[in-house]
Formats: sequence, structure tokens, C-alpha cells
Amino acid sequence: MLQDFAGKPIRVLVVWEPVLPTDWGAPSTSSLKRIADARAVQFWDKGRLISHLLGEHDRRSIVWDHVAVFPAGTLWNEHPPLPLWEDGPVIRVTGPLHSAVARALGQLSTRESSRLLGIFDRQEIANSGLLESRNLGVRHEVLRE
Amino acid sequence: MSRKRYLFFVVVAFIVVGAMIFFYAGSRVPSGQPALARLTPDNLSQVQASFNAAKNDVRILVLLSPT
Repeated sequence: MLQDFAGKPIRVLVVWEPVLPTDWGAPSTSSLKRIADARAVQFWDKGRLISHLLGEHDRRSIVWDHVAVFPAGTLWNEHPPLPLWEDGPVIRVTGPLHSAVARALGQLSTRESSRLLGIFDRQEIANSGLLESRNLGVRHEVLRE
Repeated sequence: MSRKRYLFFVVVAFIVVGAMIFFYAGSRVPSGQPALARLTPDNLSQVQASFNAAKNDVRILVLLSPT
């Protein structure tokens, strides 16, 4: 799925945690290779600390085989932030996950466009010669200044 | 022990050892990624720091079991 978003500003945080009786130790190289994308950071959470942060309080509430998408700009302060979308098991929600990531990236590009347009507006007011310009190359030159 | 039974045990042993090596030996991350971080209560903030360091990106948090 990540290949569909190659080059996009995405960071993947993968938390491996022991849940099944066969989870004796840290994930093997072969398990880690399942997420080969360079935008990923992988963690071994032996004590399921993240799961507890997300609400685990007994065996039935373990948060695992779970994926959450957070839009750009969201910060993790005292508590983990609310995601834009979350679900599981991961293998069964790849379609909705793809849509959620696309939606989050869409929000990002809209916000970025608005921010850039704001800059353009200020520049255009300052430099009335650009008001007639529809050339994006010229606009980029303005931004670099 | 018959030769057949001996061979059977040898093959099973190979399969078990091979599976254990495959599933449990080493924890090397793919190239381009930082080394696997082992979380403890003392360094749990590493996840939070990684999350916030990429605040301009869309973030995907995945919780998985190794096997």
C-alpha cells in the first residue's frame, strides 16, 4: 500500500508487541522486512506500553493488529491524539486505510495550497506587476525571494 | 529405530530449527530505517518524539504481533 503513496509525506510508526503465545521475543528480521519502506520506524514494545496508553486494561482490550491514520499537524502531547481514522485487523482494512491516507494527504495539500496562496496574495499586493501573471514559475521566484 | 523413522526425525528437526531461525533469529530492520527501538517505560517517549518529529507528514501508527 505504501508504494501507492511513494514520495508522499508519510511517516509510519510500527509497534510490534507480544500478544500470541508464539511471540517469545522481538520481531525477527523477516517480520521487520514486511514493512520495508524507508519512511517507517519500528519499535519492539515488550510490555505493550503503547497498547496500554491506547486503552488496554485487560486481555480482551489489547490494542493490536490495529492501524490509525493521523493528519499532518496533529501533535502527541499528554495523551495520544485522536486519529482521523482507525481500524483493524490490518489485513482486512487495507482498502479503507488507503482511502484514509489519501484523505489525509488531500487535507495536507489543501492546507499547503491555502498557505501558499496566502503568500501569493501578500506578494501580489506588494508587487502589482504580478497581478496579471498566471505563470507559476514567476510565482515560485517570488516565493524564493 | 528403523532407518525410515530416524530420517523422519532428522527432517522434522531440520524443519523446526529452520522455522525457529526464520521466526526468531535477529532483528535487523530494512535498509533506510533507524534501528529497531526497544521500548521501556523510560524511553517510551521515543514513540511520541518520532510522531511529533514528523508533524508535517501524515502519520500511520500500526500495532502488530511478530508472529
